[in-house]
Amino acid sequence: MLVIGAMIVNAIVHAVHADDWPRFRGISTQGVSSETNVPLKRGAEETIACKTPWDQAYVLALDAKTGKERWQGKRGMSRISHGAPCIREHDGQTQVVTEAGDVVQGFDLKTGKRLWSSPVTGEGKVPSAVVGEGLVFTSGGWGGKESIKAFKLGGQGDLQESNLVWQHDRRGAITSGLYFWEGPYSVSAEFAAQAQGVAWDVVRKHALSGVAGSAPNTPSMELGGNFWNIGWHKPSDCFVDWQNVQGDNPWNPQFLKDIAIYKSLRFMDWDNANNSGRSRWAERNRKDSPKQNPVAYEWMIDLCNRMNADLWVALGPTRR
Amino acid sequence: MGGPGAHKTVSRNTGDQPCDYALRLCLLVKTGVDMKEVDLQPLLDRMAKMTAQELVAAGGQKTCEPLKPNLRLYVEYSNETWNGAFQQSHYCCDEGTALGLDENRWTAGFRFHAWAAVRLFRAADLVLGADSKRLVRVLATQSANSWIAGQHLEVVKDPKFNPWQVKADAIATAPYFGHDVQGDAPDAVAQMRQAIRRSADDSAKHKKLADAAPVWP
Repeated sequence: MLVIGAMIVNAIVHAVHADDWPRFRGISTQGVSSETNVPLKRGAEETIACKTPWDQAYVLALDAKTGKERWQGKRGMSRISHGAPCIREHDGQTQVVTEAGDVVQGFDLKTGKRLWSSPVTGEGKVPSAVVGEGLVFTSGGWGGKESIKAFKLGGQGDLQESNLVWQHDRRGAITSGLYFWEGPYSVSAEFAAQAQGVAWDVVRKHALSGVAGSAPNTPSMELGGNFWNIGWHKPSDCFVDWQNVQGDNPWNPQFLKDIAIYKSLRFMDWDNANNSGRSRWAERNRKDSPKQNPVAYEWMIDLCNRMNADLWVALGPTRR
Repeated sequence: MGGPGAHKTVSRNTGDQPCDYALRLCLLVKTGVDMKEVDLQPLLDRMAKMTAQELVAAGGQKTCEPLKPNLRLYVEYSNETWNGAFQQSHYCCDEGTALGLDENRWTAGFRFHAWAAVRLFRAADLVLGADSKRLVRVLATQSANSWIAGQHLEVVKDPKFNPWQVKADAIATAPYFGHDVQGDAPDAVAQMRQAIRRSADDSAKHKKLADAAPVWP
């Protein structure tokens, strides 16, 4: 087991004549100092300025049992990272996806080799990237340059923005994204917006009250490690297409992978247990029906057999 | 059968009959055979031992593989019938009132839930066997109000409502917590801890009720 952390480069500022720096991004809020001749060199005995990108930052992997170092993944030119890494398999290769100032990158989980790198906006990058549907969702920026970007996984090397699928520019607080089964979420003080993965197309907003800010230690959520509804929001969530179910194995492979941890599957919405008008056996949906909402019991049995999970049904009155 | 609720999966007209819908579902789960609209009454006494082939011969149709024999079947009556936001809650109140289970409409509804669950469990017993290790008969109730579970257990242990003395295997609740925690309050973490504690206390009350009730195998 590995413990992987994005090393926070503790930049030491010995700017003797530096401006007062009483708030984030300084007194001007623009991150610009009026001082001149500030130290920009780095070295064992020298000082560095925190805004300066450097090439010595790395991602560190430790053996969870022994604490011994497994590898260091060199970031290259980058700035500070406060975010949590996200580990995902893609095309048979398990990557550690992580952001730092100026970059989002993927590292080989076994070796620490940097697989790819793309530019993002951020200086001391706080939000963490999340991964889903073969995309990496990043959030960052300041001063009107805030954006959410989705990059396609699979490329190698310095990709620049050749793998950028979409970018959504937005103002306001930028937080770590969340990825649930339904897709990526972006949370702000006012709302949680759920987007389609393949394009920035907000499909719903949840009104929120309270204060939101960046959550540096919020790890990317593994599906199954949180509560989620077995119901679907997109046609391809559970079945490849629930409106056209056919063949012996109509399931979305990712769905099967995500529910593999469960030992029992309780079917409630799948059977319209709440408020449905069905009451007699003859009214139930059939296995050979192309449209599976509600889902036929045969498919529930099929799913439980595939997953080696117990079957839990909630049967009851429906129509008043 | 006729009258109000006659076509519900379990209604006042079910009387001392097992839930027909559940019989067909359990047969499908156990054998992979859909009995469609075949009259099951003549089969009730031998249903537990009938093979898929025999069921097909009786008019059923093989539509899927059965649930693997190592897997269990949980049967539960409806969902959150205590929750007035759902139509099934009012249905239970109507049916429980019609059956005279209590003068109070809500209490009658709570008791009807157990009355209907018994008929569901009876059906599962007839198909899988009352002593089946694969069968889990679930009495579902509200986490925050253990009094409802008490009403359920009263019905299950009453021979008037449960002439077969069918057993239940589990009380199930969904002990949600944290919905009343003010997330931006300075003591949000303390609020959350308290919410978790309350939820755990609710579960402990149900455990105590379950331990004292003679409705388990």
